[in-house]
Amino acid sequence: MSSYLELKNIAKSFNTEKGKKIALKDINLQIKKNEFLTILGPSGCGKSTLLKIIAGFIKSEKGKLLKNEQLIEDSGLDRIMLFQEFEQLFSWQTVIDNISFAVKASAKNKNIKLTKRQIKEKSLKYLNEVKLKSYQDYYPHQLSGGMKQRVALARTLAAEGEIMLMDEPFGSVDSQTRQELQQLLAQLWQEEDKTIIFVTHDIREAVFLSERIVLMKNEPGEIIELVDNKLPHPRKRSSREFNQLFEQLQTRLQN
Amino acid sequence: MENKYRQRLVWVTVLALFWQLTAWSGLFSDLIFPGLDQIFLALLKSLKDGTLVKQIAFSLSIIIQGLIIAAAAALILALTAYFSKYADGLIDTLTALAHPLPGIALMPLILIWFGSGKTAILIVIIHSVLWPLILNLSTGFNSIPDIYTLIAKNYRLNKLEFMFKILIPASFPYFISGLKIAWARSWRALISAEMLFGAINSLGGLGWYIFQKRVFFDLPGVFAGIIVIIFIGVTVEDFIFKKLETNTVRKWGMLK
Repeated sequence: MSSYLELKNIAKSFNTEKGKKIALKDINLQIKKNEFLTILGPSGCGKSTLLKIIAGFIKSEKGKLLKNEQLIEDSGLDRIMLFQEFEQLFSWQTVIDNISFAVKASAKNKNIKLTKRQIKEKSLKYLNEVKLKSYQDYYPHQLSGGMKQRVALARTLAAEGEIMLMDEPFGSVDSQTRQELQQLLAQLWQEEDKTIIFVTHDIREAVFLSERIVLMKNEPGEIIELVDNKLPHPRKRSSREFNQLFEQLQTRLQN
Repeated sequence: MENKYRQRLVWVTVLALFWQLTAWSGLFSDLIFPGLDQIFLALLKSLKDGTLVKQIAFSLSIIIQGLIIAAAAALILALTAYFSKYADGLIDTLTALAHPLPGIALMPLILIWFGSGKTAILIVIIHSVLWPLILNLSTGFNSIPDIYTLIAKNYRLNKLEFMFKILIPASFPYFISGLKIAWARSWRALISAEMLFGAINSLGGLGWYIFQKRVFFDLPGVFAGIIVIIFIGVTVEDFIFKKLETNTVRKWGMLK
């Protein structure tokens, strides 16, 4: 079976004061369409670098990245990144305008002309998906951290790319809010046809969200194992199976 | 905020009272130390017969023209520097050389090259505005978060879209602070240039107005001119810039 997104021999190193540091070494990975894949590993294992290579923000030193067997070399609206930083939202635009930004970019990319009203309607639809419709005229600085990430998530959805890349997007919010956001994301993924590649160092987050977990180690950054997560939705953090998987992953990462 | 203006009003009243008492005391001749009553009469008279209003209009129109031309030029140059390494080197060098040079130092040269007309004053103003604005804009452009350039790549913005949708608004606080420095500098440059360059058809701006009053030893007139200059300076800084900030960077939460 040919895979949807394919990473072949991806490698990356950085020059540091102490010489060359290998961030990623021979990464091979096949990603299926509409799967929720988590890349899990300790800090410094190169998981964010790997995501940036998939996004096309940085280039791999060797190997290649294929989508539907086509070589990908640049960034694009088919692979939209959701960042961890709150400042990814444009502080000079209201919530709804932040989302319209993606709606317009997506329409332009697809060569579609939208009227002002259509743009507004689309933006509202995405804002509604993250349940923040009543905050459309707020400016980002008036929102809490969790709400900002919701808006950013709505903007990512509004770009209408097939693949969403997420670089620890819930890393900067408190644990209560993080769980709410994870809930929302799990639900959105089930409702929509999206491939999500999610980077995290939080094992529970990986277990709660994904269908498949890529375990990575550092120095050099390598894949150590692929773990399937077949727990049925809705997942319960307190269930025995959930915690079994958690412990299995934890042991695996410690060795 | 309210408190600030109340305090200012109180202190202005105290200082004015002090001034008036000194004038009344007869310590100095009222030729060189006129009372506030004389100053306000002079101010009122000049406002009424239209001479002062004409000079104000002249000064303001020149400074606004200068600001607009310089702001547009600074924006274009700073953007060019942002996108091109070579242009950056050139513009950086020019700014480093020209920025510390006071406009007044250029006036003799400008007098020879451009004569003493409106163009000459305009050039002095543009010189005093252009460099600080370029400096601030460039700093602003170079300090936008890396994440914005990634977003621009990701959403496939072209250079123009990136400029207008991200680069310029994201560095707006720097633009405003550059504009404030530019205003303060150009206002000073304008008054001195007007004094030096004199008038065409008795129209020479506020600087010339004061200068001319001195020639006739009309000190109430000199003070009337000074009061107008202070009034315009304070209005622009406290109201126009404040309003601009309230409607942009403060509303956006970019300025605490």
